[in-house]
Amino acid sequence: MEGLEAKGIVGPYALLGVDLAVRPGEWVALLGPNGSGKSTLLRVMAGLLWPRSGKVLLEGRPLRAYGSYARGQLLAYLPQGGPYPEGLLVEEVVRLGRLPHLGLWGQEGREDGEAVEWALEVTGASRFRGRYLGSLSGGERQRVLLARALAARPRYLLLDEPTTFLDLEYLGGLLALLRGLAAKGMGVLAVLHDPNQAALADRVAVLKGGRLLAEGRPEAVLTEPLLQGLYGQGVRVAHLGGRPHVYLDA
Amino acid sequence: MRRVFAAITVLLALAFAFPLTLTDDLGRTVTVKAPPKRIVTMLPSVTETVCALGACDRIVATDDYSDWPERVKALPKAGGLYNPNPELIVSLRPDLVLVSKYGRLYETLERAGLVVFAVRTETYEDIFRTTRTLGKLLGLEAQAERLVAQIQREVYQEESRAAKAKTRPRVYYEIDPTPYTVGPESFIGVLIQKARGANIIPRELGLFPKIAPEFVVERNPEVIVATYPGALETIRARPGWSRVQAVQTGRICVFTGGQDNLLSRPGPRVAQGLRLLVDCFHGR
Amino acid sequence: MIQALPLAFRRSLVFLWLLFLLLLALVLGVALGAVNLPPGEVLQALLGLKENPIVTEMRLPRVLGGMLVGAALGVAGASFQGLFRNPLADPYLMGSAAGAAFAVTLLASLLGGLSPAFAQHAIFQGLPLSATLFGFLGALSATLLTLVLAGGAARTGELVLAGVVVGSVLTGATTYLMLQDADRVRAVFAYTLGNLAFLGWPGVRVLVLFFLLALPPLLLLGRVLNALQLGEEVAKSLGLPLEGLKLLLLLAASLLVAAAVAQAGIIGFVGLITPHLLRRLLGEDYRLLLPASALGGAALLALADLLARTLTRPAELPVGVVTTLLGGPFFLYLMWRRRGRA
Repeated sequence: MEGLEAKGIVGPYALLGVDLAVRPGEWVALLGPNGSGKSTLLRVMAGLLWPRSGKVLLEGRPLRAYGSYARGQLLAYLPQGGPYPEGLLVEEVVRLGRLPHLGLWGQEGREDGEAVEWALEVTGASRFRGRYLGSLSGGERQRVLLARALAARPRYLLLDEPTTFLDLEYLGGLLALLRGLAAKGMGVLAVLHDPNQAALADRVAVLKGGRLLAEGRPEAVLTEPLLQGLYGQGVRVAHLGGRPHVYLDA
Repeated sequence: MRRVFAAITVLLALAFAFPLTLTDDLGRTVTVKAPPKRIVTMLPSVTETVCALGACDRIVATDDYSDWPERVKALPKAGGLYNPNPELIVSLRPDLVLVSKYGRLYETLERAGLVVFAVRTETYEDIFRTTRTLGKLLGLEAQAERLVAQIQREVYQEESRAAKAKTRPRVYYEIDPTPYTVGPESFIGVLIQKARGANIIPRELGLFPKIAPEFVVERNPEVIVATYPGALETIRARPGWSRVQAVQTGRICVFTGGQDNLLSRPGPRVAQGLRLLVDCFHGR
Repeated sequence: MIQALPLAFRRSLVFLWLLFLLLLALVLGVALGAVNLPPGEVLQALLGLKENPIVTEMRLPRVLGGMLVGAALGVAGASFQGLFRNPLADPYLMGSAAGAAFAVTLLASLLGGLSPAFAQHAIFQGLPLSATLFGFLGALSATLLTLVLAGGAARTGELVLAGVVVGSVLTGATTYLMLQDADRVRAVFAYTLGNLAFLGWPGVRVLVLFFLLALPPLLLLGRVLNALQLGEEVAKSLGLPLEGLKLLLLLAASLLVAAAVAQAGIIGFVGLITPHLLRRLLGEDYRLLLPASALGGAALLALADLLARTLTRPAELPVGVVTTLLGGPFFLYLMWRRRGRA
């Protein structure tokens, strides 16, 4: 059974029984108001938190059954926010992403170098590879951290609000990158706070109060009644080029 | 008849002497209304001097370290310089408290309404100055003069014994293994001089310098004196010290268990301390 | 100006500088002292042509031992700073140094009744191996107590707080034990200011042994410390067995701290300043920072001890006073610069 699946997740914190899966080659956006349990669910699926009940399956096997390095090779996780090692060079940060393949004592080989180059390239971070992380803008830094996550060449990429610091130019680049990664067979699960970004995903899951409110193709999920229930009566949905477009009627 | 006359003279003298106002070693002016009858001494050397003046029975408490004469061991102990027990002192209702010039104990006791006199006993001269001051304070001036004379006589005896020695050995004196030593102008430094030893420590270094070990090795003392337990083994085991003459010839005198007090307390027993040094430097 | 040079070159330059400083500290340390010796005589003694115990038995082991102590404090400081992602962390933060000092003092005072010589020797002339191991147990127990109080190593804030509490309590207990013998107040004071005066070859051998045990794992774990800078969640997501690694880092750093405290008493600021300064020059890559902190700490303490034994010669200053006088203002300067930037 392919994919990363969460089944009947109850606890920790707000989760009250959630099922969610991400398949290879698919980009899933996880949407929901603050406190709905999005980040918690992402951590549970990354193997960083253990639920009170329910289970997480990776390629059909329980996540717990994997060794920590094997898990790290298959799943990459990018948290929201810091800490940011300001005194590390961009390239050093990205190379840390190879740790699941190297273990504690392993020496970097050709394959590791290639993966790092690839990650720097696709995120557009190679331009500042020789600079300290602390000298970058928020958007540049975010791309470096994404490159770190990608350097493991994971099968599944779990991102917690990766668009927070990005301006419009970078944002477009990142969303196109996620699309491209999915097209090449990676499973991408991204917690997002902007429904318009979520609208670009293959599938949208909406979490509210620890439960899954809706799940499906963006145009099926991102409807005016649902979004008004989440964000208030002022929310309107228009359809531009077949995709839902969300705006506020002020 | 003459005795009665003498007694009357003393009483008159006392009557006129008190109330007595003196300046203590902190520069404070202290007034004592009558010869003190209940004294607390917070310095071992002062305890010894008061007792040597024949006023031991007036002491109601001492500091933790006062241990001579034997009878003061049984008295209540009111702490030390760093951990005094002012509550105990106040509760004993003394009419005079003798404290060290260091520490702030006097402030507390003064606020409690006690008469406090601060004393400095650091140098050789302090012995005699303090003895006379205490004599005045306690109304025992004649005894104080007699005590001063006696101490000086005893010291002179030891000095003359040392004077017979042909040589002045180079001496290194260690008060703790950090190593701290003594300068020539310190109390012990003066005793070393009186015992006809040549202190290897130059005057410029002050009273209690922390000395560089290689300096001691280079000066190559003929005699080492140390006043802490385990000194012999400690000194022998030091890197590079095996070639020091005193270590090679075994002339390391270790004074502990009460003997060290004779050397560290500028008090009435100074001649006994001096005798230890003379014996150490020149043999019996 | 140095910022304009290529990074790799700049980093090599820093290491060359550190090696130069170390060499300088070695040469000056052996050449200078309370006693004036002509350079020719020093050289002859070193080459074994002419016997001079002041050079071969006193200065040389003292300089080398001081370097090892400084290196131990530097590496332990860098490890703690990386482990807790706290640039103010140092061997004293985790209660580790206080634990070692307490254990050593306890041993000395327990044995003091039986063998005062041993007690003196233990405190003032560097501990024999067995007692250093006792100090290690003290450092480790204190660290574990800190961990228990903090509810695990994951919570940095609680950890720092618990470390400070454990350290203060143990320091109080140490002072109490030492004051039991009040005649030693001056010596106790000296101990808390650090003392390298009688560091000889036996002490150097103990230090080397502890170094061989503790340094390799620390140097090899530089990459792990780097990963920890991304946060514990990321480090865990990269597959690192975090709890075990943290324990290993703590053990290795405790070994170094115990060896340093046992041989030289308590010497402040070296473990704090060294990594802090080098981080500004090298960045935060712990694969560089750990070896650089070893070199830097070694040079710093050896030079501080050189000042301690020559500034007022033939008297000596406590070496901890020198490191504090050098380190304190420098640290304030760093903090001031930091504020200016923020």
